[in-house]
Parts: sequence; C-alpha cells; structure tokens
Amino acid sequence: MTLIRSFFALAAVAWCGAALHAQPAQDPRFQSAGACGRCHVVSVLEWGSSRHFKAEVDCIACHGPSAGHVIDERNNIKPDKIPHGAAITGLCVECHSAACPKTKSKETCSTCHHIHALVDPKRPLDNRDPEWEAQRQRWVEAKIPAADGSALMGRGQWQEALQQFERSLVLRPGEPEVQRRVQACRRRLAPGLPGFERVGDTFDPKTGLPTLVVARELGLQFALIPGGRVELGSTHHGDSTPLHTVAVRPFYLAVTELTQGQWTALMGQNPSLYQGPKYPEAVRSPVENISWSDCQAAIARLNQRVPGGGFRLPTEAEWEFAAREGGESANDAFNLAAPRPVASGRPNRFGIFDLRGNVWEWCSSLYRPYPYDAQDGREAPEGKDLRVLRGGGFADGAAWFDVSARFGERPDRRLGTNGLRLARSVPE
Amino acid sequence: MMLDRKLTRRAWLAGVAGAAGAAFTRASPVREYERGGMVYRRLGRTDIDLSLLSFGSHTDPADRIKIGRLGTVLTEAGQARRDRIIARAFDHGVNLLDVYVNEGQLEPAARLVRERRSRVLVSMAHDFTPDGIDRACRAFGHVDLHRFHTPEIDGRALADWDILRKAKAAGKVRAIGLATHVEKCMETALDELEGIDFIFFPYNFIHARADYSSFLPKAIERGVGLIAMKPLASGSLVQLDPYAHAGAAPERAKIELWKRGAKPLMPSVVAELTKSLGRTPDDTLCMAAMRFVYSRQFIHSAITGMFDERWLDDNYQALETYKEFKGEQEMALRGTAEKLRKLGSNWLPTEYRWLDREWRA
Repeated sequence: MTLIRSFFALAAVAWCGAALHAQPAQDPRFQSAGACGRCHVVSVLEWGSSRHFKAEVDCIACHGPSAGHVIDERNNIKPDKIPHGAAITGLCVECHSAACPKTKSKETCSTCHHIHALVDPKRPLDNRDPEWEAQRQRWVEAKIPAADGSALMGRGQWQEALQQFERSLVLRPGEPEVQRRVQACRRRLAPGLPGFERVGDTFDPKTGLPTLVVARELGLQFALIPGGRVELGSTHHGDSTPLHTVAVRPFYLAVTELTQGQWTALMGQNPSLYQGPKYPEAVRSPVENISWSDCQAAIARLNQRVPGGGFRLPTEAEWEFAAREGGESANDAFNLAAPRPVASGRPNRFGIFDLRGNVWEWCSSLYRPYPYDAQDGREAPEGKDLRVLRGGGFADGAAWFDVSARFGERPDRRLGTNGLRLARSVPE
Repeated sequence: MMLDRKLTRRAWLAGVAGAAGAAFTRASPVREYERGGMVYRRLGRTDIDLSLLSFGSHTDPADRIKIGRLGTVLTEAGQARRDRIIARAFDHGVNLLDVYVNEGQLEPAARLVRERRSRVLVSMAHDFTPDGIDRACRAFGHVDLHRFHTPEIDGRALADWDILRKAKAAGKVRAIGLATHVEKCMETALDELEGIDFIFFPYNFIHARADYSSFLPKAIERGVGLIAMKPLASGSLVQLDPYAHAGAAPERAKIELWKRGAKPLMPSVVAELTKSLGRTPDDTLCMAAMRFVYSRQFIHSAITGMFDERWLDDNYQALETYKEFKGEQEMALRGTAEKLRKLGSNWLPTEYRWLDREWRA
C-alpha cells in the first residue's frame, strides 16, 4: 500500500514538475520562482495557485534572496529566512495589517490559511469571488490618490500630499508603502528631532528626514543612513559566509568615530593609550582602549543628558550597510603606527569618515555565525559572549579592507585598537 | 506489532556503529596514527596532525656569528649542517619546523620547506606584528602554528593575542597559542585567551613534578593542543648522559660557563643514575627521557632543538619503543629526577638555572 502511495505521489510531483517547466516561458512571475521550482516543485505550485502569485509576492519576499541556498545543491546552506510559528504571522501582518477580514485576528494565520497558498480551505479557489472583486476594486481606486500624493511630494507640497495619502489609506488600510509616505510627509512638515539640530536644509526624499544633524551635547555630526536591503557577508571570509540579504531600517550614524576629547567631555577621563605629548593631536583622534561595556556606560550617560536619548552602538548589519552602500571612501587609515585624527581622509557617499581603518568599531551585536537575524537574540544587551568589531584598525593591513570582514572580542576587554562610533535610531 | 519490536539490520548496524564510536572516543582522546615509523597526533581541536617529534628552533651557539645590532646568524657551514639535519628530519617524517626569525632562519627555512610545503608545517614564535606575520606569509604562504612567549597574561599579552587572533581570522595563521614556563600563566591563558588552540609548555621527566595537576586536566578537557618543549631539559640531559654520542656538544659555550660557575656533576653519579634504567645497550638517558614524553597521551608533540644527526636519530629511534615504556623505567626516571633535585639547580647551565626555579615553583 505504501509503495502504491509513493508511486502516485512521485507521479504527481513529476506531473507538477512538467507543468511548472512549461510555465516559466510564458509568465514572468514564474520566472522569478524558477530557481526555487527546481527543487520545491509542490511549494511553487501551491504559491502559483494563490493570491500571493497574483499580487506578485514571490519567494524572495518571505524567504529572502537566499543566494547561498540556491547555489548549494547539497542544501548545506539554508534559505535566508524560514519563518516558523509567530514569525509567519509577523510576515503576514506586514502586508495584511488590517487583520483577517473574517476573524479580525492578527495571530495564528497559518491555522486557517496555507502558508504558501493563502487560501481559505473551506472556500473553493475562485478569483471571481464577489468579496475579493470588491476589495480589488477598492485597491485600484486607492492607487489614484496615492499617485497624486507622490506627485505632490515631488513638488514639495507636503500638506496636500499628506491628505492624498490619507485618502488612499481609507480605501486600502495598512498599505505599507503609503504608510511610509504618510510618515515621510509628517516628518517633513515637522522636521525637528529631539536632541538634534539640523545642519543645512537637505532632506532624504524617501523618509523625509534631514540628512545631516548634529548632537550639540557632543558636537558630533550624524548622517542619515536611509535604510534598505543589503547583501551582508561575503563568499571568501570564513565567518562572513553565507552571503545573505538583510533589511535595515533608516538610522543615524555618527560621521566620525568618537574622539578622545568627546569621550573625556562625557566620562571625565581618557582611557586611550595613544595620548600625551607624543601624540599632539590625541584630542581629535578616536578614543581607544575601551571595552564594549565601557561603551554601554558612556551611551547610558549620554542618553540621560540628551533629550529623547536613543543613542546606541550600530548593529553589525547597520554598520555594513553604511560601509557597503556608502561606496568606497578614500585614504583609508590602515598600516599606521597610531590612530590618526578623525575625518583626515575623504568621506564615503553618506558623508561618513573612517569606516574602514583607524580604530575597530564596536557593534551592538553578539558575534554569532551568519546568517544575521536580529530576532535570534544576537542583539540582546545582556549576552556575555563575544561582541562584534568592524572596520579594521590602523595597525592592520589589506586583509581587513573588506567591509564584510568581522571580528569578535570579549565585551569586557580593552585594547588600544578598539573604539566606537555612535548610532541613533530614527524616532517613529 | 511484532515487526516493530524486531531489530532490523539497519538499526543493529546503527547501534553497533554508535557503540564502537563511543568506545573509540573514550579509549583514545587523542587521534593518533602511524606512518613510515613516525607517529602523528591531532593537535587539540584543530585540523592539524603533528608528528610526535618536532624540530625546534634552537641553533648551535658555536655556529652563530654576531651581525651588529641586528642580532646573530649562522655561519655558512653551520647553516649547511642545520639544513642537512632538517632535511633528514623531514625524511624521518617530522612535519613541524619551528622557525626563529631573529637568527636569520626565515629565508633558509623557507627554501627548505618550499618543495615540501604540503607535508611540512611551520611554527613561529617571534615577530608577531602584523608586518612580521605578513613577512612570514610571503615566505611560507601561511604560518601553521603561531605563538607568543609570556610569563603572565597582562595588557601587553592581550594586545599580542589580539594580533594573533586577527591573523588567524584573516587566514594567515592556522592555529594560535602561547609558550610559557609558568603554570599559573598556562591556567590563566586557558580562561583569558579567546580561541587558544595550543600551549607550548616545558615537560620532561625531571619537571613532570606534580604533573601540572591543575593545568593539564583543564587543558585536556577544553581540547587545547599540548606541545612539550624542553623534553631534554634545555639540552642538559645530553650532558648528563655518559652514553650520549661523543662530540655531541651543542651548548659548548654554556657548558664552559657551567663548569666554571658550578660544581660539575660527576660522571660516576650520572652513570649510576642511568644504569638503573634497565635499558638496552644502545639506549641512552636522552632516549628514555624522550620516550617518557612520547608515552604521555595528552602530549601532541615533543619539540626539541637538534644540532647533530645522531641526536635526531636517537629521538626518532625512541619512537619505536615508546609504547613499551615500562612502569619500572618510569620509576627509575623519577628516581633520577629526585637525585637531580637534591643537587639544586647546579645540574643546569648557569643561564638556564632560572628555569629550574620556575619548574620548582
């Protein structure tokens, strides 16, 4: 009996495979899932019969590009994301933020809906369902004010654009892109950030945030890193593999590493090794010989002093985003006998100096194997394992030029090569 | 139901394989194999198999010449002799060569190793600045074992360790470790040096006192590689051994100092000590001392400097019989150690007496 069942199962899979094989040439949506369909035939067919397929929500949207997994036929490298349990629901509500229309629930979606097919098991699959058609009509209508809003945004008419986006949201509640634009308009209409002063009059068109601000408490400039998806890791550094995609939210990153002068102003003492008469420019050089725990103490003190707080170390994903997307900087500080004053070279595209070289920069993340997942506990502040250092130091050579290279150190260890660069989350 | 309870062939094979694997793991904590007369052991948790006998970096003082402030190099004849002995060691299956950069050994060693690089491992101890490591990589492609010397784990040692860790992370070094004579430092290193792969520590039958009772179990438990340095007590056992080959006098200058500065050990005393070993006529005190180290399963390799081909042959020959190292032989060696201990540190060359103090601590 088992044999017969197995035979039919294999035959079904083979038929599905053949059917799928016939599809990609006609439909570009199947082309995007073609690589997945080589092995995951049934899953791709399930998805192909779903509304996700029609809405062009493809495999990458939930599982990430999974470049390593695609090229590794022995399946040693897993996909970037394989959500389970509550994580599935987390993915669902990213788009279906208005909750389930039937149960009004935002939890346990997968108990009623198939994880790939998203069909109601009690209802026949029918695209001409009147309820669905009505909803689709509302969505089509919602696109009109959204498009108008975007045009108004482009002309700098923020108030009018906001009204259009809010109108669109009434027709299609929870549309993430429109929500982002609403937020951008609101930020643009009230551009002040607590604890920061704006430098210049340049704003990021996507987020509506000022691109350059200064924290007067420290006299330290912060540049806006607009966020997005970044290919994290590399294929040639042992502990930076596999290459995988991570989404990074917008955040502010200090333009320079924290200097000895700034640290002294904040903490009242200077722990650096490279100071004294031999180093006349030490005040402008990065503070070093500090542990991760020292950084946390300094950040706690800064957050008490500055209204709004929110200062922190960057995560390693944020750090790599700023280094990778910011492009090449010039005159990196490597192969030196001592750290050099900050901002001595040329900045990268975001205006950030010395991401590569000068001092190693502590990140908030625990030093754990890739792929990076901020939700797996590696960003927990209480972990006592190694913490990530990024960027290479003045004493290092070419091996650390690569922005994907990562290193771990004990959180309580102070070394003359390790310093910090502050980050700050964007207020919601 | 009966079918479910029946032991299938697959389940039986899985069970037997599991039991055999478990038994093997318990019986042999050190992975060991023999090839061409040489024994190889896996260095701790690394993927490196070391020959049980390794070639140390110590060179014959009589062959050294000063070259101003830069230090010393070997004479042309001395270098040729050293190269010949190293080549012979490689032929015996020795696969670890320790290179002392400061005596100009980098280039000669690189020349010797070049054609055998896939079989020969290189270890280094000095010049562990990033530039120094890059220099070694240019000579050898990569360094297999890199260590630094320190009597204590202080800030300076942690900074040096940071350099080594980064070199390993960058793929320039395969395994990193420490060399020290101080047991407290060894223990601290296990706790403080992140990712330590091995420790070079002095181990011979004289100074196996207390058997490093605190350090060794901890190191074995953590899978840290253990490499015995000074298995012949800085060459002193060669001088104590009346059966050692005539003319083999590596520490000539130091022996002179020893003779001038201290009461020399009477050959008759030594003869009495070595007689108690119950050895074969060709056996020497040095061979017994090497066998003592080889027979310790937790030692992954014994590294010693060799200035004479006959020493190399003796150390190699000791490998043949180390497994039959008997309890009474060990007792005899311990008796010898006890008698030497009563002599204080006079049995060591003056320059090495501090070692005795460290070992007795």
